[in-house]
Amino acid sequence: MIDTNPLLRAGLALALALPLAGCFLSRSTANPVLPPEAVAQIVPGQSTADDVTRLLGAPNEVVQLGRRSAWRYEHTVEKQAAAFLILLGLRGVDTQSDRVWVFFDEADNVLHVGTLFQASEADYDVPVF
Amino acid sequence: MTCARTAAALAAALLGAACVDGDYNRSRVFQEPLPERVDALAVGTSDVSDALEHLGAPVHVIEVGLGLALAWGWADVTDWNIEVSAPIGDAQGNFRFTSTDTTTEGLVLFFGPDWRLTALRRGYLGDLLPRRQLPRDVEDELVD
Repeated sequence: MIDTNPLLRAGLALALALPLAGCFLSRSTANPVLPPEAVAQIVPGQSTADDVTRLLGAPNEVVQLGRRSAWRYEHTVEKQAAAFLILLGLRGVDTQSDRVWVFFDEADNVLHVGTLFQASEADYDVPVF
Repeated sequence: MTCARTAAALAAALLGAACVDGDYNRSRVFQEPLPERVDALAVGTSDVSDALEHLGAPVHVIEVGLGLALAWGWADVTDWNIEVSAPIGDAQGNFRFTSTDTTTEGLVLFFGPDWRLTALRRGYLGDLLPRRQLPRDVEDELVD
């Protein structure tokens, strides 16, 4: 005999549906971490390209600016969170970076340093309407 | 049976036989520089050092003529879509609706040969960025 109790039927439907729902979190990074204490040792007017290479290694990008140049270092963190509610999927991706640009004169002495440390602000965020 | 009842029965029958699913996505990349820090820069007086100090490291550094451009970009994109499929006679009907709200914005600062700020532009980064070119030949260059 089939039980027609609405509460029981709702509970049975929920129990059947729950295994079909799911969620996941993922974190990925690109390039090595840029230690702030190493970056702080790069001093305009004092440091050279050799010093920068010794502290941070090979740059991710080199841009020629006439006889001058600029090097980019970047460490990126991507965090992803998703929830699947049977018929509806919700997914959020947050990508943030730690980034350093070092500008050199024609003799490879450091002219300027620009820094941005935001990789730690990447967040797991499942979007809601 | 009235028209309304017929429509309701038809809709119920269609939904009963149909498969409906949807998804909602949000993607955030980097962050917008604080407006007060951008406002602290002045065309004609600020230089590359001031820009780096106020706004931090840009996303792009591009050679432009004898000068350069520094570009900051950020994006916050949301999109959602709904897909309905249902058997219609012997065929399988499929309906998909997609909505995308793209807000990829940017700020580009242009500097002259003396690396002093000559222009500040806001908008969509793709529209603002100068085309990348091969590095210029510096052998015959008089001004650098």
